Amino acid sequence: MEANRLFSRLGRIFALAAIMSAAFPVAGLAQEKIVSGIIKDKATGKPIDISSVSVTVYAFNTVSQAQDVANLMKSDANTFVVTHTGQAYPDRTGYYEIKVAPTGALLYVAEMADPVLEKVNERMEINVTLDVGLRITEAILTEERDEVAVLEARTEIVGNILSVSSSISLPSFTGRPDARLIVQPVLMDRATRDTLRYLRPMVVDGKEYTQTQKSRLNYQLSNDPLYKYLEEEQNLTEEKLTVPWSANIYVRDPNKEFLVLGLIQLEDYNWPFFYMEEYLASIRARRPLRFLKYDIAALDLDPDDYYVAPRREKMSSAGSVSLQFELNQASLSPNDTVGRHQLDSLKAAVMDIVNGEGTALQEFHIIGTASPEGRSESNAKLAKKRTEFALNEIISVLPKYNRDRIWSTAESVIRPWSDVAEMMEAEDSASVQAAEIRDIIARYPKDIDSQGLMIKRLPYYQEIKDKYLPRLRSVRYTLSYEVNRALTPQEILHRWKTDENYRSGRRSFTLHEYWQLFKLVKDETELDTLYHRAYRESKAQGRPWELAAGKLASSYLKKDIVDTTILSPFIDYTVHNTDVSITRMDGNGADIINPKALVYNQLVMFMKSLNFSRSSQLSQILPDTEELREAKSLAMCLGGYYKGGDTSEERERINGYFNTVCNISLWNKVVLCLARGLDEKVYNDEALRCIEELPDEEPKKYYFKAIALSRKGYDYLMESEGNLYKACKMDSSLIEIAKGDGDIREDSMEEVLKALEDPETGDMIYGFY
Amino acid sequence: MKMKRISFYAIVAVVLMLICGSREVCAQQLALGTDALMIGAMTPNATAELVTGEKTSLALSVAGNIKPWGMDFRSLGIRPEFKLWLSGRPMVREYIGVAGFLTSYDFSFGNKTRTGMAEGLGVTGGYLFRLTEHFCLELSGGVGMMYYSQKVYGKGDDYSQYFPGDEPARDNSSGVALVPLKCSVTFMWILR
Repeated sequence: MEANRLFSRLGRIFALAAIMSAAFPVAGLAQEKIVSGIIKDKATGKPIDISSVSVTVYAFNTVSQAQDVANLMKSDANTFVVTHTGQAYPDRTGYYEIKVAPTGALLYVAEMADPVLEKVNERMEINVTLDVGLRITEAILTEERDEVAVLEARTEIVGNILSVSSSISLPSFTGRPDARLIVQPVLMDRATRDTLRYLRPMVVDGKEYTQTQKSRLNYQLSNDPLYKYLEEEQNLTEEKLTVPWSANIYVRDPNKEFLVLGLIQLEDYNWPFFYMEEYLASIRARRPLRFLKYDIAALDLDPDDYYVAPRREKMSSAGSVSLQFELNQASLSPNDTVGRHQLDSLKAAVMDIVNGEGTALQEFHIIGTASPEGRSESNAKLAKKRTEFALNEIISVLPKYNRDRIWSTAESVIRPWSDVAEMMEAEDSASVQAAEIRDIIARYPKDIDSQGLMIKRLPYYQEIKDKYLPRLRSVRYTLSYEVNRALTPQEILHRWKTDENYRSGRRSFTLHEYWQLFKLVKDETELDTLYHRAYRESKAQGRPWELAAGKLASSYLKKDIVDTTILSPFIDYTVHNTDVSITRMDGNGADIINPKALVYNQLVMFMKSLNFSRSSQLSQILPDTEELREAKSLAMCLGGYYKGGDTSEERERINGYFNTVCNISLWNKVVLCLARGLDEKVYNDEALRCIEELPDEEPKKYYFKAIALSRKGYDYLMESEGNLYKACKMDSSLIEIAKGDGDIREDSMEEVLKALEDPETGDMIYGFY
Repeated sequence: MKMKRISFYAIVAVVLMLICGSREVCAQQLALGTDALMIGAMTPNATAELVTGEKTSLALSVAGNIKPWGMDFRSLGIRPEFKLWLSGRPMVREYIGVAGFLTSYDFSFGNKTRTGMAEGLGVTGGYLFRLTEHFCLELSGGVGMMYYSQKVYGKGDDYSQYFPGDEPARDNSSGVALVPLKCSVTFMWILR
């Protein structure tokens, strides 16, 4: 039977689609225009109640099309309309807007009632009254309470706003004209029962209480500390009274569960005569967007957009050359080609600095070391001569002008025999021989010559002479020079790769060098280090750098790390645009306020940190482009802007966000339609339709269905419970979620829990669904 | 002498009331009123009431008349009253109080003329209706003990002739009586 009904419906759909496509070429090619109006309920004379009646307005370019569809619908109320010309839904004030050809017609369809056709006839405003029949609502049996109670508690979390509302019911003779009601709400953490903060209190006075209070306070009620919380529209009397209470509370972490405890007290002139504590908000909160799925990637910044000019700087260098001298001479051995080559290289390097553009040699120092064998006095003299030789070799090639302006020194040092002992011990583990040498040193502590004579007598002296003593002879140099030019990218990269001072962070790169490195370095870990250092160093200097901050934030977002402080210095919430250029006071360039990429990344950062208020704020700063539309719409919906609106422009904007997020995926469409469906029935129906297209193996499909069905009334309660049972059976994690979900009826939850405890019985009861 | 002593005690009582009543005051409420019943008896009167505490107030009434409704009657009196407001706030709902009075009178009834002074002390009680923020209606009554001392003589007589020679004229009648101290329908206006 289900299949027959389906085919019958499909047949009608195709028939209607055929009518549409056949008629289209003939359809009014006149420009469509917007028609608006108010839809009212004939029975009440008031705007149609969209929370209880689903109303759709269809546009047709010709009256005939509309008439055909109307006739079909009258013959079969299950007809499903497919039109390419457009459809619209009224809002809670009954207002609608739709585009239609001036010679076309509008068809107003309200659930099972006969459709109403209105010819446009060039009109721009068409108000319609629909007869939706007498709606029998749920019968509510009332009985007068004899106790103070909190009723209709409702809790909803959208974005970072916890919206709570309830009513405090005072039976007859509880309130008095000479009494005051004080309600002090307290926000608590549901898990720990900690008091988070005291909310704004509510005060309701009896008329006499107000009068006497005024006269007590010299007729200036502002002297009453509770006056600012007074509800002036209501007065306590001896009659029964229902006092509504509501609050919108900002919560930093919307995933937490909250309680609102109310301290309720009634007092007269003498003392409090009534006190109770009761929860003002339902423990079970609606979180309509809890299941929304989204994944927004960060925007990567292009370094070319943030070029930094290079700076000149000072540098230094050091090295050593290995020279072989003639025996007892201060000249190089003719066989020492290596030493000669090293000297020539050093000379060339020095000449490069002297002759280079923007470079100037400042200092040149040579330290020569000699080995300790032989007479120390003659050794010292020889070493000094050799060092001076090396120095002269180098600076002799310099022009006199530069020679006169360079600070140069030559120093010679004779290495002690203890260095030999250390080398033997460290490299060859010759600890015995090393100890012998140290013994000799200890015997002749200040007499190097005697030490040398004794060590010469050692049997392994030849080895010492061949292997260790030559290494004690060396010539080391240091030169300092100034480089007044920018380093090339290769020099910068080389510095990063090889200079431990720069790699470790002991020395800092300039911003230009960081800029180059961001482009040259490929390793992700190294790049993160560079981003972090560049950001930290620029921040320490008082001017955080946008590129470093943006790159760092982008890197964090890729790793799901949340830190909203990185980009906050670059965001000005008072400027409602991005990339605003402001010339500096000194006229030297301009600053960019709210760089688009940074604002976008910060929006993503706030969304990940569940601060939807801020993310929706940032969304309003970003321009409305195709690239950014999805993220903006998500931010706005998560911030609560998926429904409502006071003006038609606002409603249009909000509908835009709603539709964009719906178009991301079917799943999101279901979630958003369910969210909106509590107050607008048509969206609940749409959610039900979309739910059927979700995959059957997805447990949340049945969870969603349970919510949507429970809103349709008692007739669907069993089916709702069946779907909830199935969802919880498929995924047990949904049980805890459902227990705290205000969208699930409490009585249904109890029944399903019982069924889950006894699956055999549960399957029997709900197996059909 | 006795009369002077009694008058002295009455004044002391009033002062004591003032001292006891002048405790911490939230705001100095002050009201003025007049007793409609007395007005009906052609006796102009005025009452001033000052809130002296969270639950107390002090009222002072003055009334006097000359030949009301053509009767041979003259009087002038004051009546201080200390009120304790049981409702919890002054000048609303019920109260109990202590009042004194001091009055001089001179009237003729039948063939006798009576001239003298009376003073007394008693208890009062009442209920005040707040009609608007400033306007009130108080219904009250009281009873107390009165001491009087008067000259009683024949109407038209010269009283001094009752005392021949150099004997000073003195009151020839006194006594104590239980009397209604107060029976009022007072309209009051709270000034501040």
